[in-house]
Amino acid sequence: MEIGLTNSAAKPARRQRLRIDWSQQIPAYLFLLPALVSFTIFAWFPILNSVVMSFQSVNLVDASRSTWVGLRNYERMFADPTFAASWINSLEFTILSIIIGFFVPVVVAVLVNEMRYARGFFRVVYFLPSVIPPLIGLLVWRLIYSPNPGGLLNSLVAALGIAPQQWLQNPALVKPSILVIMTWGGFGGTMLIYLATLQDLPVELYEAAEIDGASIWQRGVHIVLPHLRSTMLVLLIVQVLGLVQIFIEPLVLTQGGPGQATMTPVFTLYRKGFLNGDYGLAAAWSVLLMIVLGVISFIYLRVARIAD
Amino acid sequence: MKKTLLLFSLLFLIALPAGAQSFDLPLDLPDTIAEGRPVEITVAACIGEDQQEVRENFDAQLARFNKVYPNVTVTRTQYCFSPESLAALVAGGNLSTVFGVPATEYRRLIADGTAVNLAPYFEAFGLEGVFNPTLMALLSDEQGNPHGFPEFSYAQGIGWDIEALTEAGFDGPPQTWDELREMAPALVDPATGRAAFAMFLQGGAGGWHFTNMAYGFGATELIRDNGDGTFTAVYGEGPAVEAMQFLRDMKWELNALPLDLSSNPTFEVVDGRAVIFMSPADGSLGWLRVNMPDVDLKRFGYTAMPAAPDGKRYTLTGGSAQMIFSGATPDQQEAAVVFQVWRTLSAEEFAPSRTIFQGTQAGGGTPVLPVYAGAVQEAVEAFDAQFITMPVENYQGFYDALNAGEIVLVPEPPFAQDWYVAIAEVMTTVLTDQNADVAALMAESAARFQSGILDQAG
Repeated sequence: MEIGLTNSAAKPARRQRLRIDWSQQIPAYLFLLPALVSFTIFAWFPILNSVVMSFQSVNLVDASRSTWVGLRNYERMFADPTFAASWINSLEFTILSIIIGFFVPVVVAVLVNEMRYARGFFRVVYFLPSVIPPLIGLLVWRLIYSPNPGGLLNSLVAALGIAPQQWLQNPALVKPSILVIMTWGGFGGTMLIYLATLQDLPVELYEAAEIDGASIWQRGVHIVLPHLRSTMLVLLIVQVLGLVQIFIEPLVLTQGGPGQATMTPVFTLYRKGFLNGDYGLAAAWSVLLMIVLGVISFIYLRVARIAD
Repeated sequence: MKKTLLLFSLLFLIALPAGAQSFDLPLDLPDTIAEGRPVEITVAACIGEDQQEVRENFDAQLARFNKVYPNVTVTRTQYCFSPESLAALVAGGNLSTVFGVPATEYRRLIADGTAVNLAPYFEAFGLEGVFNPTLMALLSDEQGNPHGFPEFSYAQGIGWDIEALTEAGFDGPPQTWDELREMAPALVDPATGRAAFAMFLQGGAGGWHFTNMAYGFGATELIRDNGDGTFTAVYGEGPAVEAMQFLRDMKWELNALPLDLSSNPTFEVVDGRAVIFMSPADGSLGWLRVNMPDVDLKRFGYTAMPAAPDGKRYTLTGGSAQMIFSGATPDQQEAAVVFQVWRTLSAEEFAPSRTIFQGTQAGGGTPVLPVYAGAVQEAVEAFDAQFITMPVENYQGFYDALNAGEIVLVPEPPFAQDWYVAIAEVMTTVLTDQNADVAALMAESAARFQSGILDQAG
């Protein structure tokens, strides 16, 4: 960028910003153009269209027959019996996932990092659930969670003297049961991220602690966790983003039940749109979801900046 | 499946003269379509990957139509209905000109204008009285204008393991829900965990099954249409509550329901975990014939739904119909209607069409509802007799009820999809909480449905 000559020592910075060398900028924007066009067509336009649809009674056959209904779809959304249940369930899934599943990849990553041999083998083994197609995994887990006494999990707990459980039909058990599946399917990828972060841990620090007699627990608490803290914060936000969008598990396993225990915003949105054909109402749900995810994403970006 | 298709093809060749149309339908099809202008239409066909001969027969039919109407080009598209893809196809204007939909979609596609009003064509082509009037009522708008051609229809019913029922000391299935309650203790086997009765108990399917059951307890309406654009949820008291109480008692008092609330009722009976199941015949017995051919279908009987207090056997219906996409041009719509009528009701195409249709079905002889009326239905039944592969002697109860006029088709309640979700929520609460207060839950559900769904409509 050219630096213009000035008469005042206070002005050079502003004048510098105004003098843009377009001969250098235009090629950059031309390179960006395909991405901008793609995002416009496949991301921004559909988002804008969804917002517009949320204020309409939508007719897919003939868009000119769609009518404006103002905030009616939003009123219906807030009055819907499933609205409160869906968002409360999202909150409960989030809280339970932090308790049940958030620290699993941390612990596994620390343990794998401690290994002297076969580290590569265990990295692969723990990552394998992540490559199984979600639908296949869920169908297998449905068999594992069979409430019949001969079901796999019930057979295992029977050996411990526990009566057969309704893993997916008991409102008290269904959320933890689903979170176990989600943890199983997702912890491998997260573990690899933590493992990569642990590679930056100064070896000398670790070895010094080991020489001084620090146990694995002490090394984990006083060295590893502080080192992983910023990564954990970022991945926590990512996990929350994913939990708010739970869909395939209720769709395949529970249909939102028992009762409304696994009704989620995306599952409700799907029903309203594709099963009820009420696209305007579904669009209203999607706009609210977008706002919630936007807020969470904003928090994520702030946390990521702090982490950097 | 290939041997079966070969058999169908041979039967078609042999039986064509014998199965030729025995009705004389005064169809008044036009000599030309679109005044001879070139027209291109598409026809959605859901033909399995392994049904090569069915596909070839269908394509041959398209070629014959092109010979009769040279200006019309008909192209087959492979499309099996799904609610997700239908929305995208409609929005993009890419839905086939002729497309098939399940019965659950009739009302919605008529209301939102996706399906063409066929009244002018029915009148012009002399189609009044050809189809089952009860099915046509489901395919018509509030003014009685037809919007589709029924293709296939089934009723809900109950099936049972004949040997298990006999061993328990019964010579036939229950005729009422009270009879089922009385039979249940003898059918339950605590040693093996076998239940007496299985039905869908969660999700939309559970709500659909419960709706059938509620009608059997005497419920005449669950969501009342007040006729002025408003609706009232009336299921919070009366027969619907009795039906839910029945389910509760079957679960907690008699231990007569399967442990797995998400299970398919047919599988529960096939695997010996239940004795009686509720299901449409094509979705259970027909499905077994295609997907589990090793299962001996002679093990199972099938009959109509248990009778309500007035002696009628009320049932929701399912099935499919062919509709014409309103996004097509007027010329395309005309061509599509003529094609649909020509291929199913003309003298020369009646037999090939029935053969193609039977080639895509689960099992000839599966208890289903008549699609046509009068002489047309008689001809269809006579022709289809050659495709019977199911043990129809086990389904006499269903046919007796059908012929006696006991089976009464009822339309879905208004706001059906929301209703199914709401009532399924109550079902799963009742079936997972022994101390659940059924009456209170139903009343609360009705109040929530009223304020959250019905009062917000319009």
